[in-house]
Amino acid sequence: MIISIKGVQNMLTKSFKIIDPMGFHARPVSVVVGVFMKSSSQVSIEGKGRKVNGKSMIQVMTLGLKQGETLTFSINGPDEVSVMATLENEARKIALFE
Amino acid sequence: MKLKGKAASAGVAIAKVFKLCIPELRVELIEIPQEKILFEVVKFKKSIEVSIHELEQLRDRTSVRLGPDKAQIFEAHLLILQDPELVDQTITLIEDLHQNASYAFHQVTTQFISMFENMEDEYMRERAADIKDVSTRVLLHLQGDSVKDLTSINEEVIIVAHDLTPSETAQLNKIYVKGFATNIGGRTSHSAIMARSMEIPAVTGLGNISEEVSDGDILIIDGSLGYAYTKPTPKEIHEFSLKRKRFVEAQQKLKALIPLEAKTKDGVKVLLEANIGAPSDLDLALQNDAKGIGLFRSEFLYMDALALPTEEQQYQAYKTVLERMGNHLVVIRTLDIGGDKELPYLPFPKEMNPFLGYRAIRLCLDRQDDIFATQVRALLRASAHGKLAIMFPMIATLDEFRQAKAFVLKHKKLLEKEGIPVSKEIQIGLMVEIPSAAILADQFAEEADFFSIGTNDLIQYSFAADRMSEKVSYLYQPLHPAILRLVQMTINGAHQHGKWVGMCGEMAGEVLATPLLLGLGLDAFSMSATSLLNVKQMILNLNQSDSKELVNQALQLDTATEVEKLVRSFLKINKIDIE
Repeated sequence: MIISIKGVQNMLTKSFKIIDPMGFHARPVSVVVGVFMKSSSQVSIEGKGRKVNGKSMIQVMTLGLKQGETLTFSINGPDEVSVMATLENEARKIALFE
Repeated sequence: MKLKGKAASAGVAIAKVFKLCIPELRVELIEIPQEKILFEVVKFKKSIEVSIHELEQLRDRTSVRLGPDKAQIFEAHLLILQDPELVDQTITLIEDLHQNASYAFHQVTTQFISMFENMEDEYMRERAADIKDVSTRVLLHLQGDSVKDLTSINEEVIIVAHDLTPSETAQLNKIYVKGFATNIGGRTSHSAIMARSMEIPAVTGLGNISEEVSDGDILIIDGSLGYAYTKPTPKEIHEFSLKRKRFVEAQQKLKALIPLEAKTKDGVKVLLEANIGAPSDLDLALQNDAKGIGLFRSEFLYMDALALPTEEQQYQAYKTVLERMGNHLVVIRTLDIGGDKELPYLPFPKEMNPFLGYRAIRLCLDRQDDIFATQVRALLRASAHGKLAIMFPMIATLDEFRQAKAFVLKHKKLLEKEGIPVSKEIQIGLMVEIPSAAILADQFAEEADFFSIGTNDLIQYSFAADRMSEKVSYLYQPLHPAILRLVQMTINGAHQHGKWVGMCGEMAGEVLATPLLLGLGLDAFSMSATSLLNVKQMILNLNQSDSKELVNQALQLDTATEVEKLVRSFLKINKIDIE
C-alpha cells in the first residue's frame, strides 16, 4: 500500500506499509539495498523516525522494522524514477508490501 | 596412530586430509608510516574484492546445487561486504589515524557487531553473526590466510573438523568427499546422520583428530568400527583397501535384495520404511525399496529458512512427498524444534535444560495461532494428494495429545467449509519418546490411530542422560532391558486396541535389535534409507516364533551387555552372519 508520494526539492519520496509477517528482515533488506547499490542516486530509508543511508546493508538492518510499520524511501539523482519503479516491483515480488 | 571414535556411518575411506577449521585471527595495532598509507588502503580494498569474488562463487554454486533460496544468505553477506559505511570508515581510520587495515577494519566491524548484539530483538541479535562471518573472511585475507571453500574441493579427500555444521555439509560434493572424521559428536549428531544419508563413511567423537593431522596427510577411517588411522603404514593401507573392497562388494550383494519382499521365514510380513528430512531424500529411500515414510521431519523447512515458512511453501513440500509415495503411508511429524535445534529467527527462552524445556509440541500448543495453524493447514491441504499420517512429537500427557488432535480436527472442518479438499483417511498419532507415554500406551491407544517409538529420545529420557554429552554417552543403551520393556508396553498397549506401532528411532535400523523388535511384534520399522537392506536381510533370515522366545529371555536379563551377548549367540546358532 502506498501511503504517500511527495516531491520535495526534486527528491522522490514514497512510503509503504510492511506486510511481511517477519518484518523488514535480512532477505527483504538485501533485495532493497541490492537495488539501491546499482543506482547512482543518493538514497535513504526512513523508519520509526530514523533515517539511514539506503546503500548501507548494516544501517538499514538496524532499523528493525516490523509488520505494519511504515517504510519511507527517498531517492535523489539522475535515475530516481527508474530506481523507484524497480524497487517497488522487486519488493512486491517478495511480498514486502502490497 | 590408531584413534578410537564412534562408528557414525559404515564403510572404509582412504584419502588425503582436508582440514576444515578457521585459522586463528591475529589483529594488532601497527602504525603505518605516511608513505605506506596508500599501499595499506589498496591492500584493504583488494581483500574486500577477493572476499566478494569468493562469496559470489559460493552463492552461485550453492544456488545451482541447493536452489536460490539457500543462496540467499550469501546475497546478504555480499551486501554487508560492500557496505559503504564499513568500507569508508575503515579507510578513514587508515588514512587519518595511520592504523593498519586489519586493526581499522576490526574496529569498525566490532562496533557494528556490538550494536547488533545489544539489540532487544533476538532476530536482530543473531545478525551480529552475519557481520562476524563476513569480517572474519576479510581479516583472514589481510593476514594472508583464507576461509576454505568446501565447494572448491576437486580431489578425493576426507574432511577432518571439530564438528560439521549443516551449512558446511550442504556444500559437500560426494564425488570428492570420501568421508568425515570429527572431534566431537556421536551416532545421532548432525554430521553422522548426514554421512549416512550421503552413504559415505564417518567416524565422530575422535577427541582431537583435527590437531593430529595436517592437510594432505593420508588418513584411513573405518566407519563400521569407529576408528581412524593417522600416518598409516603401507601394510595398513593395503589391509584397509581390501576391507574397503569387501565392504563395497557386500553393499552390492545387499542391492540384490531390493526386489525381495520383507518377510520372515515363517511368513510374517514386516513393513520397512524410511526416515527422511527433506523431499530430496526420497530418491535414496525409493532406491532402497522403502514401503512408506515412517518419519518425515518437517524441521528442514524451518531450519534452512530466514523466516517461518509459509503455508504454501510447506504445502508444496508435503504434497511432493505424498504424491511420490503414492499408495504408501507418509508419516509427517509436526515441528520438533527446541532442544538442540534452534531457529535463527525465532527467539527461544534460555533454559538450563533445553531438552527438558520449551520444544516440539509444547511450543506448537503455545503458538497455535501462527506456527501450528500454518503447518496444520498445509498438512491437511496436502493430505488430498496421498496417504497422510500426522504425528505429534514429545507428547507427555493425554491432555496434550487431545489438544493437538482437536486442533487438527477443527482446522479440517474449517478447510472443508472453505471447500478445500482434505483426505477422509488421515491418521493421527504420536511419537512415543517420553516414558510417561509408553507407560500409559494402552490409554493413549484408545484415542490415537498409531504410535511411533522415537528411541533416541526415549533412551535419553529413560536414563536421564543428555545424548549430546560425551561423558554420559555410555548410557545410550538401546538394548537395555528397561528400554525393551518400554517398547513392549507400547506395542502391547496399541495392539490391545487394534492400533499399529512403528519405530523411527536409530534402534529400528540396528540389525542387532531386529530380532528383539520382531519378537515384540513391532509392525513397522522406519530408518535411514542406508540401513533398509541390512534390516531386510536380517528379517529374511529370521522366524518370528524364535524371535518371540528370544525376546522373552532378553526381557528378564539385567543389563544391555547380557542382552547383546544373548542376541549374538542366537544369531550364531541360527547361522546368521552380521558384519
